[in-house]
Amino acid sequence: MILGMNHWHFGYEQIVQDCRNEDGSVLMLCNADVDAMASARILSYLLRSDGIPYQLYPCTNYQALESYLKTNESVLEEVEAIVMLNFGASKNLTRLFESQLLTQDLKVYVMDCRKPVHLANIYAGENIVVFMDDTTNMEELPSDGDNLSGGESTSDEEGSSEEGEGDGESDEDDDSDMDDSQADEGEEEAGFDDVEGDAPPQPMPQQDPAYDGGNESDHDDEHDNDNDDDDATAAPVDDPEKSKRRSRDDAPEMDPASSPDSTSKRQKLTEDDATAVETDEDDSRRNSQESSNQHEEEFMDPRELHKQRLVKLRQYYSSGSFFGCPSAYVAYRLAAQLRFGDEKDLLWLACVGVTDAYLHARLDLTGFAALSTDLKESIFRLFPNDMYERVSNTVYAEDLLGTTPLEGDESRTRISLSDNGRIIAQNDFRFFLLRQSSLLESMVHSDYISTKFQVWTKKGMQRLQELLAKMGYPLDECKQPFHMMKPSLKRQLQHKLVENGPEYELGNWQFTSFFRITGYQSLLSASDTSYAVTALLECETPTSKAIEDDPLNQQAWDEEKMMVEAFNIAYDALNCNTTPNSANGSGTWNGVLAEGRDTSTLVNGGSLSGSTGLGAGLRMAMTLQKLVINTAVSLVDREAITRLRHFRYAYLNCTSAGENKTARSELVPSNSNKKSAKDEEHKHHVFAKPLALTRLAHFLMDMHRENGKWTGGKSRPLVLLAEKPRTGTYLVVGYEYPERAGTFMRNTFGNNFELTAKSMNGTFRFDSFDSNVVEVNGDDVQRFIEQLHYLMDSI
Amino acid sequence: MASRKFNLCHEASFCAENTPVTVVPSFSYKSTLPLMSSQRQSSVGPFVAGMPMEVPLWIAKVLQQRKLAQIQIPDWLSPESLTATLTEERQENMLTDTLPFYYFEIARSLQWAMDSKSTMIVLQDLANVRTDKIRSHFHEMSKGDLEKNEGELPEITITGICSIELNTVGPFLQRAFSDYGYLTKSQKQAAGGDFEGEGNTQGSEGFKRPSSLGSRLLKLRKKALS
Repeated sequence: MILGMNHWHFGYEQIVQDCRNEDGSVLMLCNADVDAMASARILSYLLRSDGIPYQLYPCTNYQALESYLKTNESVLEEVEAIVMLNFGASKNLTRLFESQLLTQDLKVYVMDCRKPVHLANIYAGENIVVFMDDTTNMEELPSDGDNLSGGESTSDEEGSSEEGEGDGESDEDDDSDMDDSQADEGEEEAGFDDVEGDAPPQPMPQQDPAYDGGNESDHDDEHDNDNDDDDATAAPVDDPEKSKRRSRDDAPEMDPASSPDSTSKRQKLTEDDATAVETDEDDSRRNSQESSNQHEEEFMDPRELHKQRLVKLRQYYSSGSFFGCPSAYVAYRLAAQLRFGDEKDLLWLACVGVTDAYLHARLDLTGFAALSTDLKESIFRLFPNDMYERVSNTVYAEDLLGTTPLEGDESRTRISLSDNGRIIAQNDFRFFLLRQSSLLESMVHSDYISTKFQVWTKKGMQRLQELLAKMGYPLDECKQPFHMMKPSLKRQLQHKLVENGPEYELGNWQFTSFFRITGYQSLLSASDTSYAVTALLECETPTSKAIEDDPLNQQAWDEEKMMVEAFNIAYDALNCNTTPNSANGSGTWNGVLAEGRDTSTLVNGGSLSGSTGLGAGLRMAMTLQKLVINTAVSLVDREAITRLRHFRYAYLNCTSAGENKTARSELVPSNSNKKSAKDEEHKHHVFAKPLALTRLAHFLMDMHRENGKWTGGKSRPLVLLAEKPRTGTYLVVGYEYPERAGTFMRNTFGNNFELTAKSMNGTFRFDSFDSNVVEVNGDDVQRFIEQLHYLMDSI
Repeated sequence: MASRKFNLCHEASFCAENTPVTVVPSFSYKSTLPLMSSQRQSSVGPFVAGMPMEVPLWIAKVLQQRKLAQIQIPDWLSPESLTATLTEERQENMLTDTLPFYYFEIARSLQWAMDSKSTMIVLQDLANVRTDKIRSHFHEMSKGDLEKNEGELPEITITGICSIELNTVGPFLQRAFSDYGYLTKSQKQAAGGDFEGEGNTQGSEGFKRPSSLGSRLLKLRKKALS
């Protein structure tokens, strides 16, 4: 079921109502990125305000989620609602939560930016609620019916467990064919009978126009379809898909109970929810229009319509994955539709989430501009900064003392009040961590400047220093921490860059950024927060470091536990207490504040020591960025990026980090003294984490866009293979290469990876939430690349 | 001694939260909620959205944090009226009695709900001025009372004293008085009669603070010496 933008609050109110009626709690499952964490914070604030207990659990792949669900069944009994943040929309959730949906009366709510949304989730009835933003055109969605998984996508994941591989078996969902068909047909229209034609189809309002007609045509159609399939001279690619469909059609197992259920469900939909009715009415209106237009042709061409529908379905799934609204924004809008629109901390979290999505290439420039305009409006509403406000807010000491100023003495003492907690939206430079380090450092390590100037070369560095000199900034000053630079220099920075930038072809070096005032006047930017918390999430935790540093203490490296710990640390760092009684109210009345828990202690980045907290995150973010740059440069220097006809690829082994070993040692636990092979095994590669890898990929793309090597005819998508020595596998991720920075292309690697995996023997895990990520066994990875190449050749 | 002050602080804040404040709820609830804690009110409600009503401060805070109601800052807590009180304080010799007993604790509780940031600045000034007054003028205030010494408990009446001043200077004064009582007791003993001297300050609203600790101290002293 879909909730349109104006109706999001209905979803939340439903959660509250369910939990209050049944005395239940909410389980929040959160993806491991900053956007999801911000929305988790917002939602947890809402739930706390309404007095509803909740649990929060991070997930990075479906396998872990399923094992969590299995091992915690007792806990799940109290759960009335499951909220999935930033994942799950593209997976058939009715199947994933099948056992829970059957045994309990719980509902699943999905706030995901990943699209396309699996059609089963949209048409599944009231148990699965998808918070849809307005970017998808509801009219274009294929209508309800069978094949909701599409001919080629998720159903084939399961299918490939039977077909495709000979020796190797896939670790994916191992649903049997029977379950497959049952689950699907449970949602099917009753019109799609089994081939033998037992139960007559029941006409329903949302039925596909092709089946408004007689029953006979249905069966004929089925048979005809099968015949068509048989006759088709399909490329090897099509065979698995068609045989899959055939097998599904041949395994009728039509659950007679399910069709009345689905009918009643659908009828309930039309009666009850205003929201679903909108979309369904659209569908039915369109259908009826179509049907009225084609009434004459109905009997003649249902097969044609059916084929069209299948084509539409296939297009829907195979046009590639893309991203919609970040979930933090969804959560904030939801809060604003309820009574929490004036809560400043929530607005800040939304800003951080949106910026994070933009920085990690889940949002293109236009999307970010649209969302940031919207957020800016909210900021101006909550923090008016116009002249009137400023005048009315100035405080003079004489007024407070009640003393009148001396005769003839015009001066009054102005008291400067702390603006702690204020959010500002300003144009900011694309420099990395500007306010937490020096100007030179941040320019050198920013994606933008370093690729434009190629700062890692001597010539590039000289050019950069030339620019600074032209602007009139002495090098010494630029090496000072930014907040200690001369105030005049800071003020002029923007102006000078505008003047001198064009000479060096620096266009577009500003973007709308959000700042929060911490303490008296120091600023913390949303992008810095995002980088810092991401670094905390992806780099090692104190526990993992402890395990690694001690060679004798080789406990089982539980990746899952490490991830949960890192998540918890990062989540705490996102705490944005400005006052002890504020939104995330962790302070008690006596205001005992721990480090990093109150933004007013985070002056100018706060204490950068310690292994947790935002200060530590900022430090790690800088190290991570240095590592990204070094790795990219070393890849280029070693010419490790191979170009094939359809894509470029590069291996990232643990030894490919470049010279900057000292930087790595903070991020990657390693016994740098011993160099035995055994130690290499135990290294934990930071680039095996998806977010860091995305940063590296985009840095490479920016780099080559600037030096002109990947432009025009030479542009190709990029595939990166990151080694995970612990498990002996490689994380293979495919990235589309947009010609212009900031634009977005739909990522079709998901499909390609699946097809490749099906066509060869090997072990693969399609577990991740992103469709363009696959984990391949170390031995098979070379062949995987070759196979992928052949595949893309044949398309 | 510091931890004792800290406990007094907790105690005062807690008791202050019983003060009634005006609140405008944004929801409606027909029936009343019974209260155990307040002597004044036995129940709260019914709530009518948009209609101001009186609730204890602790309920008001909970409602405000959950965005279910809006607290209306009491009149005496605006910067202007506080500034007026401040000027009055500076001019007078005695403490003003226009402030509620728990004024500082109430203001501290409502700090986050206030629109104006300068209220706390004036409030700090006010508290400082009043406390200084007590410290510096105490000798004159008390000289007359102590000399009388009719009974066992010398009473020093200070009108207009509030909780924050009591807790700031109170423990010190109690200790001072118990020492005084001990020292004079020996005199008195010599003159005949055995008694315990205690210091006791009394607020204008009939609020009595039993200085049991002071008397306990004195008893301990007596034990040690005898």
